[in-house]
Amino acid sequence: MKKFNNYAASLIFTILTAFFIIFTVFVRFAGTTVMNEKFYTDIVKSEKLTDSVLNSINKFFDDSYASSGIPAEVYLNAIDKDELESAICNKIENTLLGIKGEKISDKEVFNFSEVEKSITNYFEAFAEENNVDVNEKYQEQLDKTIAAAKTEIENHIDIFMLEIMERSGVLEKAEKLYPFLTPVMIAVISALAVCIVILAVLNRKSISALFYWGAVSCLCSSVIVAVPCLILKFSDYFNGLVIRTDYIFKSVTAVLYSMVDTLLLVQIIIFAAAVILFVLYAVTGRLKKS
Amino acid sequence: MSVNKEKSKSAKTVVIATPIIVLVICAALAAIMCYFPVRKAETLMNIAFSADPDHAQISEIKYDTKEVEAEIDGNKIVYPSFGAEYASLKIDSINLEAPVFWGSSEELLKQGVCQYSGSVFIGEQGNVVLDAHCNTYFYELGNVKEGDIITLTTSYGEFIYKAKEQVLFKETENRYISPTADDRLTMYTCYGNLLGPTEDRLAVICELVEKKFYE
Repeated sequence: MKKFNNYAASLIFTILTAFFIIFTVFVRFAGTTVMNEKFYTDIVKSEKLTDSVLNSINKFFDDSYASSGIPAEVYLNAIDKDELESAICNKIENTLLGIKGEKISDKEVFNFSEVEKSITNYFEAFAEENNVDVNEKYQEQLDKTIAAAKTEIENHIDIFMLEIMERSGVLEKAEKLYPFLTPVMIAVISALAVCIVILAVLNRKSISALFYWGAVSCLCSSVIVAVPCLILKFSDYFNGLVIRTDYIFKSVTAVLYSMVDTLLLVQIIIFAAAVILFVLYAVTGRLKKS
Repeated sequence: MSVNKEKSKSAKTVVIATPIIVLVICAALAAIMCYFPVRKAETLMNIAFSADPDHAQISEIKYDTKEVEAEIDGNKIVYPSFGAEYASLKIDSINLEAPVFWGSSEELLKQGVCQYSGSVFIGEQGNVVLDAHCNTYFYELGNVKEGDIITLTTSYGEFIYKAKEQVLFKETENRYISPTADDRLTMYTCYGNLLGPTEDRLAVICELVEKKFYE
């Protein structure tokens, strides 16, 4: 009877340990991956998202040539790829720093002076060629064109639709939740430690049994998270997201797949830990017998 | 001896069965705990990105491209699907001959003249509204003079119009592209002698001269 009670208690605390391992992974994941600017800026670089953004800007201004009369090159030649990439990264960093309540960099997200100069030069050349009066209306039209170009480029810089998220209140919610991340992390790790200690006390007479229950916890927690991750990854689930803008689709899906990959990697490590614990259980069990 | 063997066998079964039992319990608990959050996340994903379980991307969705034949006042007419090239526009006075597409989009505007889908089909009574870019097909729309002949040819007939007047209006002013009781053709484009986006529009309003439905 005593043996059965011990088994049942170990079983319950193994289940609890498995869940606290999962919670620890997710809270740590939120802190080190979801809220990490570098995670996103690395994706921008590795997935060459700046090229997609430039293609999209090119397409937009090329399409609007027929109505505006301004060739896409007027805008494109004034946009430096590295500067655009750093603007994209700045936008992400500033948003995440804002959520974390840290000081936002004073750096302008994108320096439009070259674009302004290029449009102004083109207008001036056009006016000279077509004998257009440089009057108030001319200046108004020039200002309007520059403003429209700035808006379009700024929209393209926001590859994760952060402005939309801000308007819909998602970022505000994240800002409110962020301060709880560390206390939750401490609480979850403490709970995990308590469960491990209880398992150790329950199996104090046999170290191999402790290895066994630990292995079972690790195995279950890794399988429970890894299976949905594998389904998401190998069914290309995120490719089904209907995002009409190519560069946003590429950015969003790259981030989602990267998150899945990171989670999978952690689960592989936990699974390996489970295997090691099972081996230790077998070895210590055999030593005990001999 | 056999009791010991039996004991060892049942101990082995417990050792093997326990991880399976724990996994099943954990999976069941996780499923219960995640049911509502996952449903909510799925709904949010659907709202934000229209996540499709069949992974049909927007480019893979096949639209019905069948044309629909109908009869109006004893005349056969063909209703096109969106994006179909269903007519050609000819204005001799400005040397223009261009395809006409049903519906308007940036891609279609690159290929020809577009017909506003809120207007009537060519041949039906009302206002046929066509638009194109001022730097492409309607570059010379401003040179169409009163009395110039405009011909629209479809697979079911030929429709001849005469230019009546030129009007300038603002982008937000919808009266020139709204339905009318009389048979007319309205062609419009952006207007301005400067570069950049403009709210001004130039329209040429034409009256119907002749309707010729093919037998």
